[in-house]
Amino acid sequence: MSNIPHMFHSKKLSIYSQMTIDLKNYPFLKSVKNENQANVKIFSSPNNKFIININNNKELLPMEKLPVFLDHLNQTINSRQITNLRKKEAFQNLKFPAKRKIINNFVKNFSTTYQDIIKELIKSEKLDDIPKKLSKLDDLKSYSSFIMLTQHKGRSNASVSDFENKKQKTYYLSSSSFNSIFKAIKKSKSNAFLNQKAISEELRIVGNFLGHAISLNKLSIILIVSRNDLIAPSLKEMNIFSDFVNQLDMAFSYIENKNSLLLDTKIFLEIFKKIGYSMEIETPEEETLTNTQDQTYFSQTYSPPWSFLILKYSAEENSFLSPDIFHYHRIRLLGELFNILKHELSNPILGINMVLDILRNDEAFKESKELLDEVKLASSRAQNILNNMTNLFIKDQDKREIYVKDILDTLTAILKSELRLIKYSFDISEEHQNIKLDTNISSIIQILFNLIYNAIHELKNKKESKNLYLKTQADKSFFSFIIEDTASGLPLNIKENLFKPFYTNKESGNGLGLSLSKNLALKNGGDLVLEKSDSSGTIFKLLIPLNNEENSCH
Amino acid sequence: MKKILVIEDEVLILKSLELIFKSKGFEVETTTMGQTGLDMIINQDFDLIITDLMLNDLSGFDILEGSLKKYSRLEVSQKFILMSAYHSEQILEKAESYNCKFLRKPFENIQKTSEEIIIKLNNGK
Repeated sequence: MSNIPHMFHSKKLSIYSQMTIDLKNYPFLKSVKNENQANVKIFSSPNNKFIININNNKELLPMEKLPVFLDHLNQTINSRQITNLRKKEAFQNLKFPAKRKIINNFVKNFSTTYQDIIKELIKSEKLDDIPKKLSKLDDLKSYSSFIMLTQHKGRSNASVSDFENKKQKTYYLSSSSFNSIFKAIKKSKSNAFLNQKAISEELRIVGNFLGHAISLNKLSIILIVSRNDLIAPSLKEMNIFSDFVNQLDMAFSYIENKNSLLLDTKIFLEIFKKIGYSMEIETPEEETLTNTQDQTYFSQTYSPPWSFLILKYSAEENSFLSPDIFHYHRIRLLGELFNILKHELSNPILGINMVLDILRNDEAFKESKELLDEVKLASSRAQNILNNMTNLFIKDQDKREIYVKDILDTLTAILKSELRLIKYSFDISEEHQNIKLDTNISSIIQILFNLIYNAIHELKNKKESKNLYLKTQADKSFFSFIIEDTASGLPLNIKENLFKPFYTNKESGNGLGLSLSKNLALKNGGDLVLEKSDSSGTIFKLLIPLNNEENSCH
Repeated sequence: MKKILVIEDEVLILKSLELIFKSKGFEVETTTMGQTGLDMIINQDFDLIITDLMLNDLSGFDILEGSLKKYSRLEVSQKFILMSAYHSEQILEKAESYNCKFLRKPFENIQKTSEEIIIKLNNGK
């Protein structure tokens, strides 16, 4: 569509968050689409801006409705969801009870200041009220001068709207004076200025001040706030001021570029900074998502109407759409559980082993020695399985060396019950088994687990030819695992989008497995490729870079 | 006869250690509870105290702290052997701050481990 900004089609643009909203709650959107529900996507672009898009790239949210829209979102968050949480023990037990207050305040401030300014600007004849608005911000209470200078291009003088000690004054300034002030403020990286004589005299302010200069197509604007004293602005005041002027910049960018809705990332970053780490908003039960893939999963990550959890991860990872986000979430949880399990089971197994050792060396039990040896073997096996399981969840950054043999042992251990359902052969030469891979063990095992698990899933419902082959190859630079199944191949639509997130042919899947696997492989310097997929079966190849100094291979 | 106290909530490990050390000719007292262990440390004299770090009531570190009422830091570092299945950096660091011998569970070789303990016991005094 023509009204989609160019940025939208850029490949670098990624989905930052998406949700489905009920149009009943946003009546103004009804005109947009004659449907009951709309998809909202928030894109992040490389230049640090956000774009809100309604309904699958087809329609953009009308610009002038944005304040209403945001207000709706904020109100929903503020009233229903937070109230919901308030009832929940989990929220009351937050380590930082102040958090709730912060959230409420922030949401309130965010919607009011932001919305007001935009409204003001839309009715541009009221632009002069901005200093007054600024004076009402709680954190700038101690300031006495709030000045806005506006210079329309082509005019010989600039107008000054000066709100000082609750009195509004308007006067004019020559264009040359305006320009010199504008340049001085624009040049500075921070918004804080110390006692700049030229500016102070022109504007009749004293001492330190905060200033910001905005350049628009037809208009230049300068905003200045001063306490009229020599005390330097506090960090907090500087932040409040820069928040405000950033919102202003943003609002102007709507006006100048009516097609696109650009929100500054900073504001979003502020939100999660203020909300803090442990903020999780749960989806109220009556809100069902149209996205039927793994319901619980999405209710955690895509909680409508505003996705806080996604924001949280973005703050940490600084990468917006990567399946890794979900991966980390899941693996970390599993890892923690396994860690507990490992330690809790290790103790009784160790106890059994110790007692067995004593009994096996005790003359009195000589006749039962064979039996005791069997028990010993069984308990050692239990310990091994436990150790192998935890290989799966080693912290991601832990790059370690592992023998191919050990990878195979781990896979057989964790897939044992699944593998029973099919015919499989892991045909790997001893030479290959003894190759040492210098890689992220947990990633590699997860990828292989995923591929084999998928294959088993496809094979197990077949009546015959339920074969799975795992082979290996080694050349100068890569060691490869080749996973071949004799299932009926991948459907065409899946094949095309194979490594893209959210494509799945499993009812219970979330479509992250293969894209995640590919990502993990790439991250480790290798790759995951589809070698073949037709009615006779599918072959995947996982390449892992080889450290040639350690292994001599053919 | 040298006297050893073992504090461990996994009964099989406790009994095994008891058997091993008794067979080597030591006097062994045992308990599965941290608080009982601590009381025994205060009221009796042991040459060596082996304690697990994760007990049901107290942690091994609580026992070390409690023992500082009776023993100096140096004595604590000589008398105590810590063991745990959890060996995160934090735990290792904390254990190191008491300068005690630390045994990782599962013991790779129980025979070897018990010999190490006995060597420590004989050198300690």
